[in-house]
Amino acid sequence: MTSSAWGLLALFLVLLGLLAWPVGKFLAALCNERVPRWMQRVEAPLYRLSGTRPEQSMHWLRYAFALLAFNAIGAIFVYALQRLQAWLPLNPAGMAAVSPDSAFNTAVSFVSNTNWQGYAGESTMSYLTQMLGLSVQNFFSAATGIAVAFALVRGFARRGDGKGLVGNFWADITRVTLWVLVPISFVLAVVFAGQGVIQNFDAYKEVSTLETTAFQQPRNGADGQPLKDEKGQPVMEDATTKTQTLAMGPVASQEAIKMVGTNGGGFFNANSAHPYENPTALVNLLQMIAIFLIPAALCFTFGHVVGDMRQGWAVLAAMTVMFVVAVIVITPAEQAGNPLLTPLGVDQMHGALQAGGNMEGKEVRFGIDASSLFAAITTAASCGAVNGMHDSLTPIGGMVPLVLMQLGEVVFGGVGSGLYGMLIFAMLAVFIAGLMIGRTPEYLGKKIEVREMKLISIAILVTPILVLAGTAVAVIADAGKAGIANPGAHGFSEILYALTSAANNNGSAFAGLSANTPFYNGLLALAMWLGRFAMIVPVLAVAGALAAKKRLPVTSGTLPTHGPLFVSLLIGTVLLVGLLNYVPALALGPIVEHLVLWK
Amino acid sequence: MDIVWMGALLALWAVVGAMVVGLDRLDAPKNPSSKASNAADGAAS
Repeated sequence: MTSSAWGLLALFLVLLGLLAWPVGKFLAALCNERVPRWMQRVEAPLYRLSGTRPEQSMHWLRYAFALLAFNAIGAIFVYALQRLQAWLPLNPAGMAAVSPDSAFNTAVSFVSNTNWQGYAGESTMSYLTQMLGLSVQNFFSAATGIAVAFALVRGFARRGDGKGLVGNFWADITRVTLWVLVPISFVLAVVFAGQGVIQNFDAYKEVSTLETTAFQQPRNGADGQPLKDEKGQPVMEDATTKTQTLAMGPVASQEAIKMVGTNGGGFFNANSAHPYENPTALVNLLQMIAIFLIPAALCFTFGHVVGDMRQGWAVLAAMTVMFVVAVIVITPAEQAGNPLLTPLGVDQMHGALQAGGNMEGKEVRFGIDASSLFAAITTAASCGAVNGMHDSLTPIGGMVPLVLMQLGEVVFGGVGSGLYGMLIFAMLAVFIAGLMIGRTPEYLGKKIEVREMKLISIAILVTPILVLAGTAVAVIADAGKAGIANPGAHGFSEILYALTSAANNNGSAFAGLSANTPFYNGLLALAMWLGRFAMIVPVLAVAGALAAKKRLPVTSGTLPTHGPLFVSLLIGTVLLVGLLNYVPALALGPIVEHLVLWK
Repeated sequence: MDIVWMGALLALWAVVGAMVVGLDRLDAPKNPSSKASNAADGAAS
């Protein structure tokens, strides 16, 4: 790694630590239901209106059904908004109704905090759909993840009421949205707008270009449909233009929560590679920090709430070690460049005038360092925003985002989902340690018994089953193979990446795959929904089981869960359990590609 | 077509709804002092 890459990584981690600490402390107050009186007064009318009693703690079953009902209503609302947008206001570009399969995929995608986008925002969605449908779900899906993390942390912290009460879902989602997500997003949106991220309701602008641009476009027949040749390929024709359409819209407000909520769905198709979404190096740095802010803060929240900060530090340390290793792998892989270009005399060395390395698919203004770091951050967290095209990463560079997602999005992970995913692995780690030394596994004074282990096993197995079975179906079905743009190992990687991203609720794409078809819209929606909620349900069940248990005192036989030994054990468990499932699939995709490229 | 996709959403919801009910039953053993629990306690002593 170059010194600038090390410097950027160090700056990022220091700023993240400084900002995450106070946010974590405040989140701990919300988790402990210690809300200042003036905030309670603001919340009170909302609770009165909805008939909710925030002080009434719910059994995990009620908590889960409230969560599922809330998210199902959100999905129906986003679906309806897309289907009706042509007749609704704030649609200056005259966007037509979104097709049913794409609307379904998008609704599930935004409700599940995945934000996989089979569509291009600027040519599909009206401003109203972007704001009232997609942005609102950016807030609510993030709040849902944090609420589940709160429930699990309470499960550890409670002394054992025998009832399995884990908090009030309606109070949690209201407080997290109102006092955490909205204020942080508001401040960030103002800063973004000040830096040049656009925020308007203007019609799209038609501007003259300095030069005439020549391009190819599909030739349409008399019926208005693209003509195809005898091989089934579209017939292309040459065209020129001296004008360009500039898409407008309320971008800054969506951009802020897109990062803070680890949502990742861009206003524009190019996401954070678009200059109207990510115009400067400062915005790029702030976006990266915003992605990790709440996932890192929740580690401190965990420590505060369970009354032992060392526990929070241990989880954070495990996440940080795995993240830094990922950055150390991806950045040199991209800096090494493409060996096929060397014989052609292409200079790929970094210097004062160029970033060098593999610059395909990367913004010149960000270069290798900021693009590689962004790629690691966005896939370590379940964000999925991109400031460069992941399809153009080198095989090893592309494998890093894949692996980070396949670990279960626990290396910081999504807001809330990263922490509860990591705590599931922590319980598995103490279980394995318990087997090795012949003692009943215990984590934070709570015995991990048969029921918990069954639930943990379900939670851990859900995503690998969805990814591997989904990929198998896609590579067998004709409709799945039809979407591949690059046949061979890279085409397999494109499908594996899509399913990995969907089932782990990341949402980034390898691109190259034509996924806006009924087949992929349906398959990926299934993976996103079950990857989200079939994971949340067993986690809430574990929370309920733990909340009902008495907290045992620490004895000389208790495995310490805060030192380097436990951090190593936790990392080993994540790597062993999380990664081993995928090794054969990785061997067929990026590893083959790497061996072919560097033979 | 809208009915088909809304039906798909309902089916997805039903799957996780059934999972909640199923795991709640898994959560509530008939006999709290089951063999497995005793075995775990035994190992700790």
